[in-house]
Amino acid sequence: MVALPLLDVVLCSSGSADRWGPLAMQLIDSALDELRQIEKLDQSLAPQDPLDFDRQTAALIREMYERWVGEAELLLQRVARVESSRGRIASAQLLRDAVGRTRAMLSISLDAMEESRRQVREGRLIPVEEVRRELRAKVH
Amino acid sequence: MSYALRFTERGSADLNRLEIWLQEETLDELDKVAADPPAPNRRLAGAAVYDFVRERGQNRFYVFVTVLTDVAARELRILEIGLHVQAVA
Repeated sequence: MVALPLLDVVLCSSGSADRWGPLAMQLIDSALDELRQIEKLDQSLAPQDPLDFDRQTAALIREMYERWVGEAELLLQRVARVESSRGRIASAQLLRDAVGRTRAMLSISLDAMEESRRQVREGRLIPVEEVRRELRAKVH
Repeated sequence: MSYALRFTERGSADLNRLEIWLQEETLDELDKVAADPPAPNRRLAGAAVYDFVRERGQNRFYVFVTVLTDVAARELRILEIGLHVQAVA
């Protein structure tokens, strides 16, 4: 998202309000494209057997997601300014959702990923019926 | 063709961390996936990703579930569940 400073310049220039919306939309599209590229990379670098967890590669991909989400949030802050003066930008919600999904994914640590795969290998699995029973017991 | 659902201890602990209503929503979503697993459109470190969004009050809840499919055993194994809560814009 190297073009983010461009939006800052345009937002500060009083005579260019009509360019805010189109530029914001262009930057949103570019951010969503960038995320798609990271996801493709994630997919192509994934091990054949998902139980063979490659921590080093997963950590590098994770850094890319972290960098992306940080920059996307900065963009969304600026988009909010544009929206407050120019009205809603339809694609902004797509970016907000992409950020939400990415943050949810990043809430899963590399340690957790390693641990869950180890549990599958060791057969430490709980049937959904038992999980539901526990949940019902909490509700009643 | 339906699949059985089993949770890793990690996945079960992640589910338990969600609010009760969201645990129920998550189990209902996973039942739907298990009834007829769609081809995942995303993967994380090789695991299939099923995610969904719920809105409640002033918040939007993003739930992110990673799943391993064992076709031979006709089983979906829930690895981890992630969550992010965002104020509705």
